[in-house]
Amino acid sequence: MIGYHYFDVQLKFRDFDNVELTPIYFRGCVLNSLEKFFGEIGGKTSLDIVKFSVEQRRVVFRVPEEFYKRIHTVITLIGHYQEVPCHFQVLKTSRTPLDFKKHLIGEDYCEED
Amino acid sequence: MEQTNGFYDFCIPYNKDDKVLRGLLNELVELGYKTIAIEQSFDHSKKEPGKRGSEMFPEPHNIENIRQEFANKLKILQRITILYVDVNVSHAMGVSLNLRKFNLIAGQPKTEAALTHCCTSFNGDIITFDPTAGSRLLVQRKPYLIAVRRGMYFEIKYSPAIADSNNRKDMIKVAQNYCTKGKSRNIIFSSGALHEFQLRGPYDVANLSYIFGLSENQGKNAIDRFCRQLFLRAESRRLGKTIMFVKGNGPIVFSDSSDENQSDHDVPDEMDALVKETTSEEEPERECSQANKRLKVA
Amino acid sequence: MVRIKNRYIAVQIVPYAPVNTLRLNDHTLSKCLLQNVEKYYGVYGLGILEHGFRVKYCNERTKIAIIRCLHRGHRYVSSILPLITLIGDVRAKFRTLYVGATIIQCNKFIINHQRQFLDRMMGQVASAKERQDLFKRVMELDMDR
Repeated sequence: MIGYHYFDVQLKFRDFDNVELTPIYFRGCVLNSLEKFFGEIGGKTSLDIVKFSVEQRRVVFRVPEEFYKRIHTVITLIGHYQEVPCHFQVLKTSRTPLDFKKHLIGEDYCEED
Repeated sequence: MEQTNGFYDFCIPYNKDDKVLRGLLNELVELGYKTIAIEQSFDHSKKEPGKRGSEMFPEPHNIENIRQEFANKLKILQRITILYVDVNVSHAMGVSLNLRKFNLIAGQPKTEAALTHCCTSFNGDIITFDPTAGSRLLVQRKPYLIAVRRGMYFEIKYSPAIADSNNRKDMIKVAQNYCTKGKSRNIIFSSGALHEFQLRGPYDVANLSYIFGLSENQGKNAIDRFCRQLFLRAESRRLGKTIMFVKGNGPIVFSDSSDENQSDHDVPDEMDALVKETTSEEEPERECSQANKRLKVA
Repeated sequence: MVRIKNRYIAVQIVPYAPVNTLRLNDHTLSKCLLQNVEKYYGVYGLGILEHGFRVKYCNERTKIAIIRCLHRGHRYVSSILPLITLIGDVRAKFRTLYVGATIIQCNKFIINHQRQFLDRMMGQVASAKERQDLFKRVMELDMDR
């Protein structure tokens, strides 16, 4: 059985109107920069989007455990989404499935272990 | 003792546009930073060398109003980054009064010789590098260790890696060089963000240690504890040698109760650090260098 | 004294079509390798590897090269060597001979390797003249760099 790591990410954009936010595009954006940064061998993984909300601009996805660090790095380093400056803020990471909960920023980050 | 809280971000470039700066600061508050430094850049090499003795360094920007606005949310420090090529800068720094008004002094050497000088005798706190200039300047092992012993910190800015993916390779190279040459001791992370979308949360930044060759602990310390030490060092440099009086208030009670110990715990530590730095930092080294000179002469 | 750990990788370049000499020098070889590292390991791999990376020795006629890199990054190189099929503009493959920690060990190994190769080939050559030629060609190992 493969262990998964779950990410809860808040998407912030400078001008949201010029952005077409869909799960496919988001996934493409992450995987693209992952491959650019870690190459063909180090940057191929499966990324399953668990939840996606355009209104809240939040997404929960999961990646295999050994890619946890790389994905976290790449998410941090993404600066542009469709040419618009953006900030993907990782709200919470966990080994157990996540859901959109009532969550205040900075309140309960989980320590990476 | 001035109290500062984590997390730290010691490089927020000053922006004339008040709105942008405010946006940055608001975002910093939201991400959970408590202590930040507003950076002011100064290119020493561009000044004509004619007038000596006069003030070369600019006054710090007036940020009183911003400071007041964020009074209980952020502790705002001021930092100057001196870009320089030759060692004349140390004379100018010695006579400058304006420099004292800055909390932190950072050096950004442009040449190999300047980098060595920066590590060995620069009277500042931070050594930084220009990520857009490529990785020509790589620190050597000896100067690096000397800088570590002097308590200087090397800065890695992460926002250039976010803004432009072409810089990433060079940044990784520089950072990995620190790792090769001295196990990445005395590294701090800071943002250098031009607008609020280049800022990242502290935990995300700590996680960048993965690509910069630091261990996880070093990564966390790079935005927290090391910055605190850096701040203390800078304060001690600013104040010079100071006499301290400790006065007891009321009867002295030696007690074992844990909560009292806890609350008092921070203070002696910091004082120790301060005293150590003021006394031990400056003198042995000066003596050392003098001894060396004498040897050479002999 | 702290030593910076290096790894030296000795490789043989085996072209698909037999040619006497490869038009190849240090520069093209290292460019080819770095390009492939970027392709397979991305910017990250390149950033880790590039500092300290160097082709120390490259002989066109014996087709042997020695690559130096930092200990931390040597797996990035050694793991992509089998995947490369095009070096410069020659279709060829790499055959990893030896990975060592000093260049002297690499050198020893190469000399041994060439001697074995010579032993095998000597029997098939008739005239003494050709034999000498072959000997010269195979044992040509000038480690001047």
